[in-house]
Amino acid sequence: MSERQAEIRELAKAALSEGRVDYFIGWGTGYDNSQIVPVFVRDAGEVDELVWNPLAQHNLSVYLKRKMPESPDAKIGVCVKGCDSRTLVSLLQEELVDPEQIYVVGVPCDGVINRRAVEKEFSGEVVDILFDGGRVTATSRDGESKEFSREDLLFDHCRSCRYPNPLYQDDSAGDPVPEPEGEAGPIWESLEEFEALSTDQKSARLEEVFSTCIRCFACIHVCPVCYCWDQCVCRSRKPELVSQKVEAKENLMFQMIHMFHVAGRCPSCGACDRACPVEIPLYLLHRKMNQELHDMLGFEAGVDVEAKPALQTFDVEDPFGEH
Amino acid sequence: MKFLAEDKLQSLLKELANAAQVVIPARAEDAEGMVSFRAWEPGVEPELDVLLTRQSAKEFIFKQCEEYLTYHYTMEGETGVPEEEEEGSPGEDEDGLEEIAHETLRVEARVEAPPQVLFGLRPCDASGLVQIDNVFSGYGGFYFDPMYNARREATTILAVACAEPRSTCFCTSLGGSPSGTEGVDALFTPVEGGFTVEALTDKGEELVKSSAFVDAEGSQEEAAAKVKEEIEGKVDEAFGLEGVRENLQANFEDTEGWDELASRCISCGTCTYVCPNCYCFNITDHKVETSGERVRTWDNCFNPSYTLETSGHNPRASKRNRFRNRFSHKFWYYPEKYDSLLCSGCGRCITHCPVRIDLREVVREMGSPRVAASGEEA
Repeated sequence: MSERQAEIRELAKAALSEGRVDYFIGWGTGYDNSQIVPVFVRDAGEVDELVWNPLAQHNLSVYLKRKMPESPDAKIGVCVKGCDSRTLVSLLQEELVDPEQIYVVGVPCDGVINRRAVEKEFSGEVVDILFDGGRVTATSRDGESKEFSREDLLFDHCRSCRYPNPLYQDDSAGDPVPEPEGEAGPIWESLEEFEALSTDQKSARLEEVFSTCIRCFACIHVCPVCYCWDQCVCRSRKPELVSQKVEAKENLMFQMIHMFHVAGRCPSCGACDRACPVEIPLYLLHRKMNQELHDMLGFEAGVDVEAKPALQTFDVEDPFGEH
Repeated sequence: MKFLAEDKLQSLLKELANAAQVVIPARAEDAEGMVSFRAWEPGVEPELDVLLTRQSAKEFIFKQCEEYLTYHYTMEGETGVPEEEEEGSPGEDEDGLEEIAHETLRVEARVEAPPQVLFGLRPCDASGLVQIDNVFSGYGGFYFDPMYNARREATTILAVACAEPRSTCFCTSLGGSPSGTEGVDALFTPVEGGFTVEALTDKGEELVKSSAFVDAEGSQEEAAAKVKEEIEGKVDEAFGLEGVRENLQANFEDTEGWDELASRCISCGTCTYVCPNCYCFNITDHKVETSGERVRTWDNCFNPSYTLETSGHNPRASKRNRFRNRFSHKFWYYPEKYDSLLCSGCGRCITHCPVRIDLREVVREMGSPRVAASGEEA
């Protein structure tokens, strides 16, 4: 891990000092040692702010969907994990990012951990998280320490990850990690429980889950492939397609629009899920859509820069009629 | 001062629930186990070990979404000609034009304010409500909101002093305290075996008449005083307030500085919706055919339509400007109008921000003279 961190710093330093990028986006330490946040490095002398560890959950390609207001022509360096590289590929497929304007450092990844899961093991506040191989030691503010296995704390989508090495990069921070073996096929087991429900039960479950949504829109703002920004149809008041009323049905409607709009471009990176302040398992929606796209069209989002997103093309051979 | 034994808490909540809705912080039963305020039911234990609920309790007074009036249009002077006949004889359209129907609009205001007791707020949450009161309760001759005030009037606030502040707590930097009493009807302080209870208002006095309370012993009063002193010392100093307002004003056009602080912000509204002080709202009509309702919902300064004008111009078109507004509102605009801060230091905006934007850092940076920083940039 520290080898990858050193590589990231080296590559960022070279790019900044040679003037190949105006700023470099990576991960750094937040307000305490248990927090990793996105950092923007503007000076080669500051690359030591860059950090890599299994808390680096943020998908930084979100900052490419719209440039910094003060510098629309800036050249940007950015770190991506395997899953992050897939949303970047989606943006490249639609020519929303100019490959000439970006410098991509790919970071081979062994999976990132769910910090919320750590916090829930304590009644107090977790202020420090340390990594040692497969072991994770978390310490709370009142001095209580607990040890966990890194494997146990991984996000679901990391456990079933098929692309631990970035699919698009200019340079790699460290050697690639071994690709998962066996038949390449997405793993959908987390949907099974939901799939087994009757239609009425499904509606009831969705209503229950979405009644807690507070419409903060963190899910769409943190989504790299959700790029309508101020023109989002879910927030438009004229026409008002989604009511301003905050209630389960309207909240679900808003999420459904998001799901359909990013279909074929969303690789279920889980950014929406992690950002949700009320912990709605949003990635299940996107996984469901990805499962459908995979089963119907054999399509996977964000794996091939030359491909077109599934719902933006039509082929008479598409097997819609058969399903 | 009164004392409530730990095993009397459930019977107190039950007694209160006879006359009012009782709201407590509780842990959800699902896997996520999130702690949030919800209506008490027999057997539900208040979760007081976790310092802060996910959202503040403002939702129970200033609702995220509330219908505050309904309206209905009725037409007068109807022709009495059935629609089918009109359709069947298009040549007679001109006859119809002579009849101009008068519209009557009937509006009904809705004020629903059943009695409620909010138990287990922290002093920062209670203090946040006082800042919202300023906005809706006619401060300085400004607007008085009947709906908000009816609900406020019907609410009793029972705060519980904090036991173990988080590193992100900074109430003391803002003149608050983990055992603060602003906006509190009765303050519960955890001591050995239960809580000492101080009635602070008439509503509080009414509460402690309950047989669940006994008079606190001298040793319990001393223990409470000690607890309060200890926790106060555990809250970190985040920043000094002196000059913050003036410096925010002076740094208003420091676009580079604001851009730098806002660069990782994703411009969502989480910070404002978990905040116990933020009160911005939006109003929309929902009309179906001739009837509709007018709804008030929370809004936030990161929302693209927040300052969008009908001309299409948006004075806060960029993320930087929206970001700047949130902090300037809390530490400059609001204090100028209401003579208090629009922040009570709970730190929720920091801990729930998807990218951990740190309000303390922003105030430290932009609430200070920026001479050194601009020298560095040059």
